[in-house]
Amino acid sequence: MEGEKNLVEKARKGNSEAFGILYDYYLPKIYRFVLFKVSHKQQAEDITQHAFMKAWENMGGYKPQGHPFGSWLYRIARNSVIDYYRKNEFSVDIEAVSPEALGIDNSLIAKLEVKLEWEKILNAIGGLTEVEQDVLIMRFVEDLPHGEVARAVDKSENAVKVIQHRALKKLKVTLSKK
Amino acid sequence: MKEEHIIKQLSTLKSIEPDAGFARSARTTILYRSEPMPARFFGLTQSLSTTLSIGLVVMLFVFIALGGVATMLRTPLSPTFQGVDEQSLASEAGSINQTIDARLSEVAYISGERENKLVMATTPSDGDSNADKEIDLLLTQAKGY
Repeated sequence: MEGEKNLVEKARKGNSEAFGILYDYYLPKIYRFVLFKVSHKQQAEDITQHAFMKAWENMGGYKPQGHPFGSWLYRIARNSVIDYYRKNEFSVDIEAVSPEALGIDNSLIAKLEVKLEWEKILNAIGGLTEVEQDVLIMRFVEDLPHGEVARAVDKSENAVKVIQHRALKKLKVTLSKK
Repeated sequence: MKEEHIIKQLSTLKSIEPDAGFARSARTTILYRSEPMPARFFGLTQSLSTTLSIGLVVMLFVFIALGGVATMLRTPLSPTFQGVDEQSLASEAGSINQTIDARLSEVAYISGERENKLVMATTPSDGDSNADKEIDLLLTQAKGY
């Protein structure tokens, strides 16, 4: 994001307007990330709001250290999902994951073909491990580079590449069966 | 199914957006109902928690060290038998026993003589009955010793 450094610095000093701009930019990304992990629209909204609230409350302690702000946000979102699973015992029926359940706009899934494809891929993602899901979503849905993904999932870049390769292989096998 | 096709399918998910109403209400809630902790206070709380952690570790080490010192101090106060030779103790005890035995045998000899004397004294003699009574009395007293 252009001018992100300046915005982050202002937000660190308590400038809510600066944080608001960062929120507007990152909300769709964080929301999608959480949505594909929890497969439920309402829960995704709650967790996303919680993640941004935590980020805003802890802005004073954020230190860039040469890493993008987005990595920090994704990390908070990831931890928020884990916390949510711990506090609320619920299981997701993988077979029931559908674009409608996710609250995806009907106009986007107007074509039956698109709807079926999304259903298949969302179900396949649900069968991956947590870190495999994180890597694939960040890499191919949000187009993050390996370095940022590594920072967000707290692993090395090489480890991220291995996880990505493994996850794609798994998806290939799952989607080939259906 | 090829990996490229899977990656292409994943990228189409980018078109999913959060609900506009949710985005607005969440923004208001986050920015106007919660406050960030100022950077200087954040640093202060972080340093306080670090100091507390270090303090606890130091206390733990001191506690362990005190436990070791207490063990070392305890040993001089309690009697130890490290410098005592068992053999010399046994021989010393043996000589004491011998001394005691010797004394006992002396006492036995003396008491034996006394008894003999007593026996001789108690042999009735023709003579003085008063003297006999007196002797009987003395004998009784001697036996009492």
